Amino acid sequence: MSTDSTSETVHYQPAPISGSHAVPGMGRWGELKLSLRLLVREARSGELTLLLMALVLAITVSTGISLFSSRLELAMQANANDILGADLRVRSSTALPDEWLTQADKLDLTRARTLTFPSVVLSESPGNESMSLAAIKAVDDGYPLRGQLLVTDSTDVPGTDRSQGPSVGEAWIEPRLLALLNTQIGERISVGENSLLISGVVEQESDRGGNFYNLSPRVMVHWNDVADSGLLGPGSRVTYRLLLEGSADELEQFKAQLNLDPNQKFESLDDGSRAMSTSLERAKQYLSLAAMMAVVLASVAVAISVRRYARRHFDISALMRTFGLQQGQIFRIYTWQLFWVGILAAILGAALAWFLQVALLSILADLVPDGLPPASILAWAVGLCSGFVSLLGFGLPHILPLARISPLRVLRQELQPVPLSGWVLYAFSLATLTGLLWVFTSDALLSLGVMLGGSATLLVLLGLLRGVIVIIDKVLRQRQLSLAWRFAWQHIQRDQTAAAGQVLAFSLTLMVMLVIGMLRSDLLADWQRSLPTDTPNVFAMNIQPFDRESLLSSMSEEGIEPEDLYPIVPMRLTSVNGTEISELEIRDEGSIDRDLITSSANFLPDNNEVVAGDWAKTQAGPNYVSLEVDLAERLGFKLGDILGFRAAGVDFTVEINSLRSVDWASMTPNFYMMLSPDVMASLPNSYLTSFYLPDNQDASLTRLIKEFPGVTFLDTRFLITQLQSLLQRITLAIELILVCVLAGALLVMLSVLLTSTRERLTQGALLRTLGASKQQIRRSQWVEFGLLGGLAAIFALLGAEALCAGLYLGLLDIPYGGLGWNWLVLPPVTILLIGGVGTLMLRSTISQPPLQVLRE
Amino acid sequence: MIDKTVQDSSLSSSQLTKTVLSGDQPLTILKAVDLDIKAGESVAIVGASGSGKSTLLGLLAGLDVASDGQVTLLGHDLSAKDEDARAAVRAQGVAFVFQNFHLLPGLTALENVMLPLEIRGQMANRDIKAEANRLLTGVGLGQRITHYPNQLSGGEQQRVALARAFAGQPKVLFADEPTGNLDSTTGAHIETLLFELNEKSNTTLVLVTHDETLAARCQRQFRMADGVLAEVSI
Repeated sequence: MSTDSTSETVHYQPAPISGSHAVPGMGRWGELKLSLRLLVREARSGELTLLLMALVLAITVSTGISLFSSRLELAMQANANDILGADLRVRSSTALPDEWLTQADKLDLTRARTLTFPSVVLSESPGNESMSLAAIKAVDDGYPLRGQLLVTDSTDVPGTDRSQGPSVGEAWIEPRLLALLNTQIGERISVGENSLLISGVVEQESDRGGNFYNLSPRVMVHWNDVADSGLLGPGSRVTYRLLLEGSADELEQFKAQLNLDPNQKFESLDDGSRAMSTSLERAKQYLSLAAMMAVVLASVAVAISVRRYARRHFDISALMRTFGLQQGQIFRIYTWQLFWVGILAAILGAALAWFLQVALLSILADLVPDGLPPASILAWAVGLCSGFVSLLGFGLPHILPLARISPLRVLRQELQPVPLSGWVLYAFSLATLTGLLWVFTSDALLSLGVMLGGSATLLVLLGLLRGVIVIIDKVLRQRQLSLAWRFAWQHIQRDQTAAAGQVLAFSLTLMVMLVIGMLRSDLLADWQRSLPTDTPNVFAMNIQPFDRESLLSSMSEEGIEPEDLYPIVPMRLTSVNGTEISELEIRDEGSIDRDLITSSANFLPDNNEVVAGDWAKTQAGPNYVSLEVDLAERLGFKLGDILGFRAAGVDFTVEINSLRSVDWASMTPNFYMMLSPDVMASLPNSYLTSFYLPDNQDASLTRLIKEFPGVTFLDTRFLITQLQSLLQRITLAIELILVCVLAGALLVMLSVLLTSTRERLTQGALLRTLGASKQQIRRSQWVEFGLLGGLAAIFALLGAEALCAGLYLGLLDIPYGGLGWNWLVLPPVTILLIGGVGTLMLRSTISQPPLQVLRE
Repeated sequence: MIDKTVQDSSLSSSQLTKTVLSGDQPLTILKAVDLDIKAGESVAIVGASGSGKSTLLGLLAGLDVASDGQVTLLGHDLSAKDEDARAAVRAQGVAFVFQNFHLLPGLTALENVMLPLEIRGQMANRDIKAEANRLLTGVGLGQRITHYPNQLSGGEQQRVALARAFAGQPKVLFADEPTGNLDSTTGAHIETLLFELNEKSNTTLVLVTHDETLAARCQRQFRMADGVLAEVSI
């Protein structure tokens, strides 16, 4: 009878039941194969598509961010020495002492010197008046020591690695400066008094450290050209660096012999990466948080999908138990199935993640060093694992009841497995998310805080939204609703938590998108508009006493009225009440670990207000200093404290005897510290002022720059343009991730919808047998999803208005005009998006013949 | 150690009792049921709805646990075993046919029949497919093996379920109202098929039904009333 004789002999052997109760022939390997086979069959029904999509989303986003961060970090670590450009680097804000150089030479260390400062460069091409703020870097003949310096002579040819910087009289510039100055290789530019030939374009400069001026394009020139340029006077914001290469011993010896002043510092690898990354680090954090939002939503979709999958498999699971499968086997078979889906999602997600990080890096191209190394295996693993963690943390708890189903269910349909308690589920999920966030941020405490705070906030919002739904329900109940509205509302009303959750997911995402969109497009422009038209927009710094009168008269010839002229001196805090700053906890405070540009208290600047102490005494002296009140609070300084400073090689002490509040947004010179005039008089100082330059008077500025090469003119319009472009890039990158968040919210909605498809199918079929038209049912679906979308849009707009108003009125103190046209655009777009996706998902409820539905 | 008498008896119960809580009150659904079914016998259990016949079926098949008494299935004392051990007994040669077919909607007819064979994992894949194909041809569905349950009529679905039940040649087949969801013509067809297959494979058949004509085709009949089982002499 059987075609297979072995089946007869093997099959009917009454196997003794062993202690392990294993089904004969069905080992672990068999379970694995069976799970795969069942899965392939299930997959055809589209049952798992949504789960797969949710996992792919989670994996794409988390892996994408992980790769992005890994490549940045690797670039900083692996090439840390290249980024430093040396084995050891010393930084100074004053000229490098000659004895350092002799010392280095004595120890046989290879050395190079660089100095960097911001300055305006001008095109010298005839008829081309373009100018741009640039980051000038002067290098001596020893540069570069290590790392890559890729420079090309012609824009058509890829750059070659150079062993020397530009020659005297030449400049190498970054490609974007070519565009900004509207010039090309072979033309000339003015840097200070010097006219330099553009002889190359810098493609990669691995030791390009960073600070704010990093945003400005690079101009690399020879050391000697700067020494002659008249750009460097006392008080200039110049950073000198000595780069050294040699054996560890010699370097240690060198380090030991050096006696650093407070304005001098050894730079470590850490500094290299920290310097490069302030804005990048911030961007990375925002990206990680946005990514986390997407992962959370995707995980919720995973949980809903797996729960539905499990519920639909109660019968099958009971049936398989009648075939003789044991609880453990059922559990393993379904766990394997999840695992297979995870593997497939990992493959798809990994591919998409690669594209995502490429997109992120290209959006942030200007901020990111060139030639990033590929991401580490660990980064891939972390990203991919996070997908599995989400799958297991959110999916597995729903698989457990599947294994615990009683086989008696085949006879008694009403038997349900005991589900895990809700608290266990939520705790499991929350722990999973906290773990994921921990991996993203590498900060356990922060992760826990964000997670607990986040869940608490969400719970409150969810409660509020449910309240809104209840109120709407009360209002609607008193009205005679059309059929479409009645059924639509009934669906929303039935599971208020699910409805509120969906509205919350959409409105939070849209709200963040709105706020970020505002940041990107309007914030800076609004702020600029809010300033009075004659607000100073150019700062003139490094005005030497001998230039002072001639500059003022040239300005008045050009019709420029400068604000007050402030004497300034850069000085560094060295001691507090007699204690060396290096022994105090505040030594690493960014606000004092640098040169503070300090002025004299000849008069109180317009927008300053004395909040404590006696300004008159500060003015009279001797040996007093007035502090900005916030700084004093932050550092814990109070009236009567004695502060020690070093400026231009002179050490002196002064007593704090007044505190001022300062309006930093006024665009006029403002100072943390102001010294009694008698102290200032004993120090070599330069002057600082600001003035308003009308848009059509750029030529005046050009003439001033040419006439006074030693004066640094900082055109804030350039700075604002740069800031704007920085903001745009970072927000664009975040919005890219937010699109993924939106996709996550859609997946949640779809998975919720899917759980009610059966009921909707039956309802649709019944309604149609009762005579309802397809049109009526479709209208009802549009009303339902339109309501969800409309509510989400309105909450998003309200939230965004509140946040933006807080930002504008509270933080920046500028008038707030509202979100305007967004109110007209967002609700219809959201309604169309959510309505479209929802009705598309439910099209089977209309297209399937009622008879077929009712028979199933 | 399986002794001779037990081997003759394919399924037996003694003093089998099932008590559940209905509200706060204990409710005895089965009252000390004694039963002894020899290998190869066909047995019908009839009775009104709610008389406890499905409960008895569940207990005899080891799907549920008795409050008291014993069930011996294929030589194994089920009352002494936990659920997984009972599953292992089922895996040795117990099959089911249900009133509502219980086909897996995502699987084709062929795949549905292959499933128990795959789970037992004692045959090569190719052979499993051939066997399932043979069984479906045997129930007259050789042309419809790639159809999904929702593309088959009720009678056809039950024929797939029969093919699945006989896959792996079970020693005991439990059938719970196998024709309950079918019209009389289709039901009659399924009945014929069931008894044919039963005869060919010498399977012990335990059938729960309220259909007297179906019961009449069995060698022995029991009637269940108020939890008490009594054999009906034919």
